[in-house]
Amino acid sequence: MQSLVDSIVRIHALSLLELRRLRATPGQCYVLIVLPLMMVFAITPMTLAVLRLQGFSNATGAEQSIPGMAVLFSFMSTVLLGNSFFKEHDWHTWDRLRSSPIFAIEIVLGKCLPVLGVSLLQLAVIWSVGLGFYKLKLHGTLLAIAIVTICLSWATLGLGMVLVSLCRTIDQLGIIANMGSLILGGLSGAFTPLNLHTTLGSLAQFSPLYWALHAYHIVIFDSSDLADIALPCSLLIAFGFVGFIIAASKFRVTDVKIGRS
Amino acid sequence: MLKIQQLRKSYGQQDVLRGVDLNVDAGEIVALIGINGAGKSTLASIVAGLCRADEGRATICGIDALHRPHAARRHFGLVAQEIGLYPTLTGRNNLDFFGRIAGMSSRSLRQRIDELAESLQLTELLEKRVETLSGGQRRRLHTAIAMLHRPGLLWLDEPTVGADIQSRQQLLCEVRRFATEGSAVVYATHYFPEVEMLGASVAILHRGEIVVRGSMEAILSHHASPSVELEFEGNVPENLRRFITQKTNKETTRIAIPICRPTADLAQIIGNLGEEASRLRGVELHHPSLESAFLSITERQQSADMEEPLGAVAC
Repeated sequence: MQSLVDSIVRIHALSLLELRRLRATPGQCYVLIVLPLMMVFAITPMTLAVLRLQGFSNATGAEQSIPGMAVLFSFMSTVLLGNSFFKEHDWHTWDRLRSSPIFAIEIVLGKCLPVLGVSLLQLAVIWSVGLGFYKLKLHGTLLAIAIVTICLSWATLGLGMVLVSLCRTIDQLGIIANMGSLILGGLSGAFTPLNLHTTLGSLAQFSPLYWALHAYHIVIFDSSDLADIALPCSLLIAFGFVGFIIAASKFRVTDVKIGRS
Repeated sequence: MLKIQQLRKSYGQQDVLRGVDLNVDAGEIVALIGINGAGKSTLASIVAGLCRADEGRATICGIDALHRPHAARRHFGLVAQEIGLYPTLTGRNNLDFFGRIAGMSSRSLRQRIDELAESLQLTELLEKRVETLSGGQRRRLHTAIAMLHRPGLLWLDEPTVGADIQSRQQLLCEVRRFATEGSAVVYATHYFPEVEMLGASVAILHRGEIVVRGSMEAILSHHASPSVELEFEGNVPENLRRFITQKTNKETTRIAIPICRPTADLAQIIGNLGEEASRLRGVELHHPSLESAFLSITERQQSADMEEPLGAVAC
């Protein structure tokens, strides 16, 4: 029992440190929150036109742009996770941390929790703008949106840990995360409805972004029943688990990482 | 406090540690000295649990540091060569974080931070971001973090590299105080005057082995003697050439001669020079020092290492 309490204290201390670091240099968080909103404003007229053409006469355009940008930029928060690990090497604090009485799993949890918080905050802001500013109407409930959002953040964290484990430099991670977001987002229908991409539709099913978008679309267009989002949410949770399993097998505290561009 | 037995570590074909034995008692400061590549940092990394040993044992405060590293780290503080601090956070944030993961309560942590900050003259700097501090101030903060939880064993790996004189003095003073409070200290350094200032005993690590271990006095009396260095106009006279070591150029104009009784021996040497004394341009007396003892020990070891393979072939 005491060791569990000690473990929670260490995870809390590391999470607090990460939050202080984010507060001290908030630029990246601002980008993760402001940029998707700017994109929403930019693409909503286009998505409105597309939705009207598809027969959604009451659409505001936000039905496509809000969930699209939410999933796209959610995946970009993996860069934040990468930074929190890779910068430790740049600052020579990684070995200091390793020579302290803290377990590797506690380091991973202490670093993932604040990023999860930022990811949830990012999605909450995007949805608030959609619901408040664009008067986005839901067939489903806010609870359903919250569930999908949590599952999406979990999947993003899992994929982020895969990148942290496999990449050697912060530049590699940044390129893969940003390019991956754009490519997977595009494939998954983040910019335009997926039914416009007949050839790419089947490929998209291998992307967690597709299932997150699919779940959001169910809540927006189709159903108020939570059971209808069970499959996409389960798949998002599975993506997260697979990510953490890959990370557990590949992540080595002894690996030398380069945190400087 | 620290017991290391037959610790071995290789990287591929290269043996970095070849059976290191080292004991450090509570309250003792041991200066670990050795040339670059002798294995000092590897030894620190193994004891800290940063890399694995191939063989051997290491215990910190009776806890097996190789098999129970997490438990052992509670009693261990490492001051690594590279300064490890979070630059965008304040000094207090850095201290607070490492204190908490070391298991300190809020109250004792606050007290300890204030105490260490005062003794290392960091009080005014605690609320400043680390990135705004000077190199010496960062070095002191870096050291303070390792001392925060009063570890039973404090290991400092060249802690004063790049530090100014003032920071160096403060660090040495704090290390001495730390040992007097009952902790064992291992102090790896290239600066021999620091060893004397710390009043440390000495362990010389050479090619992955502790080749000499003892008090400074014992090492000086066994491995160092005073010498006189003579400089001539032209080459060293014929009758002194027997003192020329293998490494010295035969055409040299300077020669160092080991002596026992400085005044009497010097008078005798000059007397024996005869007419050659007129070519004498300079005389310098060298007292026995850790540096000369270290050089003598490592040169002897290198000669022995070079002969060893020949002996093996002969067998």
